[in-house]
Amino acid sequence: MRAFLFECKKLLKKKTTFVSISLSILSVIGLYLFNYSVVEKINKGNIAFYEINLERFNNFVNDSKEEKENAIEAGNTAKAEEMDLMIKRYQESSTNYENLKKSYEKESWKTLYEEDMKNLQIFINDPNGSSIGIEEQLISNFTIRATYEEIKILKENNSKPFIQNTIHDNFLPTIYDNFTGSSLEQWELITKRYGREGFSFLVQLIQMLYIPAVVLIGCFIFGNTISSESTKKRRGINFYKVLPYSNLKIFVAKYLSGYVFLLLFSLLMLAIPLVCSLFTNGLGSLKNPILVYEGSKPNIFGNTLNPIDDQFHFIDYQEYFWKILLFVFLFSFFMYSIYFLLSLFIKNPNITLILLGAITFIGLNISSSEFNPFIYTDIHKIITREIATLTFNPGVSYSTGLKLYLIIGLILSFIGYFKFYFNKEIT
Amino acid sequence: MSILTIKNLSKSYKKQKILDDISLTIDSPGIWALVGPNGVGKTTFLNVLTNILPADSGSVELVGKPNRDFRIFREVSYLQDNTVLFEYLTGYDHLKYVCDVNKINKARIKEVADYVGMTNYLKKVVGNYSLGMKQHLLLAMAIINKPKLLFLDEPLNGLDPSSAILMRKILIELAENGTTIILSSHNLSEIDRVTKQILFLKDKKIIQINTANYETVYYYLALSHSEKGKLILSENGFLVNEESGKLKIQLKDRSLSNVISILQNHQINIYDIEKEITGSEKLYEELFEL
Repeated sequence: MRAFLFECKKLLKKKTTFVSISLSILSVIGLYLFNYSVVEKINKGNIAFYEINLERFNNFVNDSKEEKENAIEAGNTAKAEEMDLMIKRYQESSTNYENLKKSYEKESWKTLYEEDMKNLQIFINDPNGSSIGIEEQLISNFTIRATYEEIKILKENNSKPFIQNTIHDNFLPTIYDNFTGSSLEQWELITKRYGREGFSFLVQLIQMLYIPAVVLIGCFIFGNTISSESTKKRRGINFYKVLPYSNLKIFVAKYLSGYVFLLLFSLLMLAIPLVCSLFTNGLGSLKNPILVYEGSKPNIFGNTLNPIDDQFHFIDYQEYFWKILLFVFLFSFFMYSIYFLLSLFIKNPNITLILLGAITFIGLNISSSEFNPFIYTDIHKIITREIATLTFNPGVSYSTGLKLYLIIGLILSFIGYFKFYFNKEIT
Repeated sequence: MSILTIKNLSKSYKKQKILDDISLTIDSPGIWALVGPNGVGKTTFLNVLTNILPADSGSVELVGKPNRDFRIFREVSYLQDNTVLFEYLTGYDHLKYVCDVNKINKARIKEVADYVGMTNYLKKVVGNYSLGMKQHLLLAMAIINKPKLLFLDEPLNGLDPSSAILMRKILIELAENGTTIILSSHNLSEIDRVTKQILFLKDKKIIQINTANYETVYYYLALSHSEKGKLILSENGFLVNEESGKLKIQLKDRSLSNVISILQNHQINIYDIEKEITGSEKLYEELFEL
């Protein structure tokens, strides 16, 4: 315990630790503020879009009124009646748009959810699967169903949604859509989601591989407790070797202190966006839904997804974040054990970091086998079972990933200890 | 029980043999100096003795226990070079940790800091220490547990004259109080001032020699008329050299009073007399064929 506390003290007193943590915090704050400004811009853009549409409807109404008067003057009763209907329709649309805009401005999400559900309900039971699309390409029935259910949950919980580039029909993008060309661009534009509240922003970050990035930086800062003291210029490790301490105690103290600090650093980095949100839009609701795919059964077409029959369910943020916390605990242990072992061979932390980053990247892309631990790096896609569904491999699961991390992490830690114990020439 | 027992110790580094079948026993308190040219393996020898580096073959026992037993460091200390210090910690942090590990009362920190003269900068970070200050801290760390056996690797490195005198005084005191000290050093004149027992590391072996038989006594004299004095003493058969404005005289079988009376007869005043005994230097020259 003494050695562990001494190691912690050393880590805390290092200037490089302080500088690295401060820079990391500032970066995340910067990221939050950037996202915040983007969200504000999108909000204004959405409102402006509706104002333009409202103006267009008003112009249509005025034009129709003029045409109606001309028709009356010309004695064209049929045309006048047609214009009358048009005016009514434009006025209805205008009122509807006005209401939507006002609801959006006032954040009366319930009104917007009801409107969306009303629109989507029409397409859910479409016998053709779907008849709503972008340009010529249709949105899958799965996506429409998932979007409907998501909105339903949001409405039930009175929760705030992600911000998208539209005020209503905020589709939930799923793996069941295969848009191409300009349709894909437009689909991506309208379904790109921005978290406005703290929890939503965190979910957004996690989808962008935020956790692996944080853990890599953390390993770089805290994973050199032995290697940084075993160089020609710094031989701090020899300080311990002439004290009444066993090698095992020295190793455990150094290994654990680095890991504990890495864990605290990772948790801190997860907390920063939440803290930032307290000063702006608040934390949001933990009841917000996250889509989980239930996979696809093999069908006559082989391994193809079935957007009509395939099922899904939602978990709430609370469950999602508990899973994320456990993941952080074991994923950081796994990554740290690799970094630590590498650092016993390579004294330069920059090279070790690059090497670990490269190994992770290659591992992430090389195989979709459930025994490839790096496939679990994108934890969002693991929790939502996106990878399992896409690869038709139910073995790729959250629990498999955690077990792998624990087993491999322990094996690598033992190898690290043996390397430390037997190869004393490193000193 | 012997303090240090080495049996058939061998060590190679990068396929080159550094220590070859060394056996040695030391069973009494005192100071032993480890001497050898640069790169001969003095630090490696000390590192192998303290099990920082593993031996290829042979065995080492310190204070009656195998050197693999980490508990020996309750009674054994090793002053290494200053690369073992943590630049971002204070001297106090280092000493407190050594105290904690050895279960020594914290009051000992102040006692040792006073003893080695580092009280003023005890709570400053080591990164701001000079070379000499670091040596003081290393010494304090090495003696805080009152060791029975103390290894010192180049303890006089970076020390100013007053610190070197203090270090010498401390080592002699420790030896007088029962500590066995093995120190490596390049400074042969300093070695001669603290011990006559030398461990020469030559051709991968240890040669243990007592330099008492090889001693030469020199006197440094500061005179009112240096040139005249040099001439007169040379005429009287003394070996005389001039060093830093002083006359260096080797007496051989004649006495100092003889020198004084000759100079007084020629009305030359003596302002200062300094004595130097050298033994290891002559031996070193012979052993390493310089």
